[in-house]
Amino acid sequence: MVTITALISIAERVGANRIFKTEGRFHHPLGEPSLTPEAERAWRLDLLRAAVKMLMLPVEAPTVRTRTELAGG
Amino acid sequence: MTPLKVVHYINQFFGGIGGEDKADASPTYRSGPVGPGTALARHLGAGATVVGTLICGDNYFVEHTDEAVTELLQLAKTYDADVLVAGPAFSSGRYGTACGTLARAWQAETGKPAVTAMNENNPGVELFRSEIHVVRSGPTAASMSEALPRLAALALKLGRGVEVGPADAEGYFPRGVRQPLRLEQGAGERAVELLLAKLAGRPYRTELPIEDFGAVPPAPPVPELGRAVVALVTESGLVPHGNPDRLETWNASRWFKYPIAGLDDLEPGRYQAWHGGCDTTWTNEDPDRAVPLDAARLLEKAGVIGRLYDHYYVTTGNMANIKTMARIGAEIAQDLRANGIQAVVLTAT
Repeated sequence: MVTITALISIAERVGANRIFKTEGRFHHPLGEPSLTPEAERAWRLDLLRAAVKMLMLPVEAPTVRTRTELAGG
Repeated sequence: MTPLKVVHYINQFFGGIGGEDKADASPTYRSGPVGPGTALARHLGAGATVVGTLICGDNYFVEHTDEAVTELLQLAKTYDADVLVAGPAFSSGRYGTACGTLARAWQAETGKPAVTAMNENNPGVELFRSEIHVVRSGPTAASMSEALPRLAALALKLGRGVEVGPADAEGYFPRGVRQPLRLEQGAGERAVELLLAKLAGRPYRTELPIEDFGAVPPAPPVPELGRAVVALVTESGLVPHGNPDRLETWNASRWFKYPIAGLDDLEPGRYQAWHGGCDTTWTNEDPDRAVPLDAARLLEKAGVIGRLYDHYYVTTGNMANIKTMARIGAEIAQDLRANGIQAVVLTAT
């Protein structure tokens, strides 16, 4: 399971093991209203593509990753 | 004192019907004790008689739960028992679920007590411990002789309506119930003693263990995401417009799953975020901001994920009760496994 959230400390505290630090505000984790709808959809797709990479990541404990960190592979 | 009448529930394996190959066995009954019931009867002693044994295959129970419960309760009632004892189920998830489900249904329908036993790793513990007494057991049947005496003792107490002591004393999982006690020493004195013990490095025991979230062992990585079935889960409270199933906006006690088969995105106006802990304007404007169906579908089409499960799951993560959320998590996890889902994307507000 990958948890997509802006509230990282809470996710770590409750023991979520794969935490994707989203770039949206906490109340719309995969939304960016300042973008045009088309740009927002592309932004959301790129974020989700990065987030699901964490599903293949071996982890030992709560681990946080950002889109940039996951861009590598 | 007349001995209590106990009816015992066990699965196909302990019932001597067979192993996994017989997990589809439909409910049957035998009079008197069967298998571990014989040892249970010994521990119950003169206090109770095991009048009958109900046996059901673990698969049958979890795959036909309503029918199984109905049949088993009907069979149980013919014994006019005072207590239902189920298991011990040790670490077996299906068996533990069956024991807990049957015990809960028995209590609800007859008003008489039920008790079961499981290992702390059994998912059934989190699902049932607040509703029925679940005695602690070791992980395997090797601990049968250690679990049965405590199971029998609790069954006798519950059957007689005798007051049951605290969880630690009686060996069951805490149910989240608090009983007032009158003690010799007042709280101030006890607090000072506790502090002095702590400062001196002497052993001490807190009177109120603060609930720790605990560590969840990480799941191994998904081997091939491009072949995996992935489900979208959210605690954003996103529900079909009108909130037909009445999900709460805070302190949620329920979860739901809603169909997304054939949909390429979540249409604004058809869904709303039922969440009292944040401004839901933006999510109501575009529900994909909370449950990214549009993006997930594109990833599915591109083969990044194998298949998107045809429902999304929702509860409300706002001022939630930890124990309730643990139960909700366990129930959703059960549903995920029953539907062959291998990975989850959880969006949290």
